[in-house]
Amino acid sequence: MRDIWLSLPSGAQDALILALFLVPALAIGVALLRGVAPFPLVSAILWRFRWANTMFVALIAISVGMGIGLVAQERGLRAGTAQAADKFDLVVTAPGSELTMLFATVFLQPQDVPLLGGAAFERVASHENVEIAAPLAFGDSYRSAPVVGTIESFARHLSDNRIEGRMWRSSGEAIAGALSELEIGAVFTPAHGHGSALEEGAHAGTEIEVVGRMAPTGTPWDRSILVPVETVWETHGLANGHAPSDAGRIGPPFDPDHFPGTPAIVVRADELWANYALRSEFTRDGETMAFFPGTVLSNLYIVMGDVRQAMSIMALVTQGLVAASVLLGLFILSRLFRRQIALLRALGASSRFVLAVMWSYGTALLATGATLGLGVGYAATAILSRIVTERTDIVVSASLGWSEFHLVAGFLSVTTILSLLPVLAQRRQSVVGGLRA
Amino acid sequence: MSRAALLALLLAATPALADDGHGHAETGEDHVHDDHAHEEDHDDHAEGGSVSHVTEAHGLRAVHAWTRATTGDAALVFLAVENPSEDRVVLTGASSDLADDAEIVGFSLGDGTGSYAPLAEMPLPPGGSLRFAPQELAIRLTGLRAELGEGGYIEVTLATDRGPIPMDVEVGAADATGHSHAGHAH
Amino acid sequence: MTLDLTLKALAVTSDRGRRLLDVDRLEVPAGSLIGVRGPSGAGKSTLLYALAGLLEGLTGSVHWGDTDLAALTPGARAVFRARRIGLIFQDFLLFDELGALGNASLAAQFRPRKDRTDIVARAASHLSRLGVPVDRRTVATFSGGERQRVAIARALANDAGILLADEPTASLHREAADQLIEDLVALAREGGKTMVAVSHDGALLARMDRVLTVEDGRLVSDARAEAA
Repeated sequence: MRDIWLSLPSGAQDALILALFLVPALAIGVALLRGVAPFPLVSAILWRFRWANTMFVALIAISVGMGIGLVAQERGLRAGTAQAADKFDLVVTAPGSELTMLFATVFLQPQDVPLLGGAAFERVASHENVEIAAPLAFGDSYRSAPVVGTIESFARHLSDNRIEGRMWRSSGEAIAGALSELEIGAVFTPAHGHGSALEEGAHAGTEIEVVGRMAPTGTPWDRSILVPVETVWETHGLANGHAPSDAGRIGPPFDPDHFPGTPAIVVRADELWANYALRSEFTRDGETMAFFPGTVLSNLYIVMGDVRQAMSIMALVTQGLVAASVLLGLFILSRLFRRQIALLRALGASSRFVLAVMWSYGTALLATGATLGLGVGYAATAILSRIVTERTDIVVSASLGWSEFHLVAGFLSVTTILSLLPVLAQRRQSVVGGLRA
Repeated sequence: MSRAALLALLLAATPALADDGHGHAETGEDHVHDDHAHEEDHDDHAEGGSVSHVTEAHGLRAVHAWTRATTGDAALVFLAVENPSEDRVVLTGASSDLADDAEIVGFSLGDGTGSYAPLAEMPLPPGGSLRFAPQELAIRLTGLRAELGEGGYIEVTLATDRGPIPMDVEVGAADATGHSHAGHAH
Repeated sequence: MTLDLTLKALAVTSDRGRRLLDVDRLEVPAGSLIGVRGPSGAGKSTLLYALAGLLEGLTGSVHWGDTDLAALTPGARAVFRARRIGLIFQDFLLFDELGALGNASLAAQFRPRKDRTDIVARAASHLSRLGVPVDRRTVATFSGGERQRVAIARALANDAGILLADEPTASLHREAADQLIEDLVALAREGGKTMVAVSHDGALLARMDRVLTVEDGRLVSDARAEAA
């Protein structure tokens, strides 16, 4: 049995779980509605209490939507940030906080970070298992867009080699990210620093021409402007990484003696296993630190998951309260409907039929609310995702996954079973008493 | 500034993550084992026998192997392996009497869900070390035949091209993030 | 098909133990039209509900043909009502959100599928016979007379042999009441139904075959109606 289950594709498993969640509701429906057709009466009740019903449905939709939105938003954030880190297999920096370095490199958040020297870079770049060792020299900006010095192979790796125009051929040329305001052919002068620490004019005289544009990556790098790392060094009046005899060179190899330093090195290994070996190898006390952005993010997700868990519990409590108030409402409405119920019994309707009417009514409210809740949750996620994307340039997309559908199905099944209770509670009431009410 | 809103939120929520003892770089924490003679086996005398936090065999050291308590049928084992010898060694896998299967697996984040994929071998250069850590590298046991209870030990054997290295793996809490002696410099 | 009614040693007691109704013996041949009168609270309605099998905890027997309602479970009595009895109430008890046909054919919602078409067809033909327009309007907009006609069509839609009416004209003005009496009596006679109608309305009682008088929970008179 277990083997059969495990052999199923995950989509089929999810679909089966969903079906399983809906079985109780469907079973009750079939048992109650077999051989009766109470829909004219159900729609009559829905219409009679239309304002109360609308309120109920809205409450259910909002509470369900909150739960859904939370789950979907967390998944969207995970997927978006993971996607942003996808190109950064392994990052080598000076020892410090991995989180700080993650934000500085993957998410291009300005941070004050120490530099790695030529020897350290050389050790990484010359390692037999290292395919790309790209220095990332950040710190400059142009109109709030980060200007990052690196090497050609990283620019190609980052954009999956989708570059419009051409690659830089010399210092003083740049490749702009997809969302950059700079078009091909534009010339700009970078500023030193970012935001409030900005020093306009520090690099006066430096002119950089945009010669190419990268395709969108859905990451903060879309806003950035990539330049040869030599350009950054030269702009700051430093050596340009190459011996004077080789001064016109762009890109590796760099001469350790003329290497001014880089805050981070993005490493791509030639083999999957080598990443893990390099991680251990480049982690050296007091010299370098190597980390997997994926691991740091994953640890963040665990915390994010805990926060989500806590908020999910609040959302669940809200849903529970809403469900309880709806059930209370049903109870009150079935009291209001007491005379009509007694009439049905007097005319010879079975108590199962009465139960079927009230259950169908309650379930119509719950199902409508839950379904709208999916929409509310999706809309909330879409809006939040857009805001996050606008503020961080990390493309967070809204989507509903199986777990959200499971959540809704579970909510529906539980509440639809509970919705039998108010009617069952009044089942033993005398018909004559009801008729005279 | 507003660009950082989300990230700042995450950052604020996770002060501990920034320096949660990755590698053996942070050894400053105080604990009661400071005066252990680390060159010798450093044992916790559990009932019925001794277990070791350090195994040396074939010129290799396996240190601080640990896993998490679980009632499921899979577990991840983490440790540090050091190769103080002059030669390269290759870790080729693992085995345990408690599990149907054991293999070395590497973590990748993928679309945000994260998963471990098998790695056939892990070479270790002379003088090198390798850290098996959560969300990075692990030995995955599948088909566990017993529940792993917190505070217990299980035996797992690391396979290398020089021969097997038997290890006592400490079972930590179900949500443990490191060995009980994490940060303890052996 | 209609049925004889036989009551024997029927006694109904309230929850508090007060004797509400006490009938030693009553026989009504099939097809009779019976009026029941008496002061308010005398037990007329209790008698009617007993005949409909709507009361719990009564002693004695209420035989419609071979069926003793007093010996049946509530569920079985409901089935009997659904098939054999049509009920008409003083204040109509219609579903305001449904139309004339929806109300008249209400039983189609809970009766077995095979009976539904017949129920709807009979409801429609009775409505048309009673002059109630079958359109998209709900009965909320109907006059009292129209509403009670819908109720009559509903009582007849299951082709029951027994009609039980509780003050059917009390909520109507005189003219509407007279019209309704004509229709009700004509329909009962034509269908050969056994009808028991509780009423204060002399015009209705005058059209009955017999009029029972209930006072203080007892049958005090069982008179052939004088010709009006």
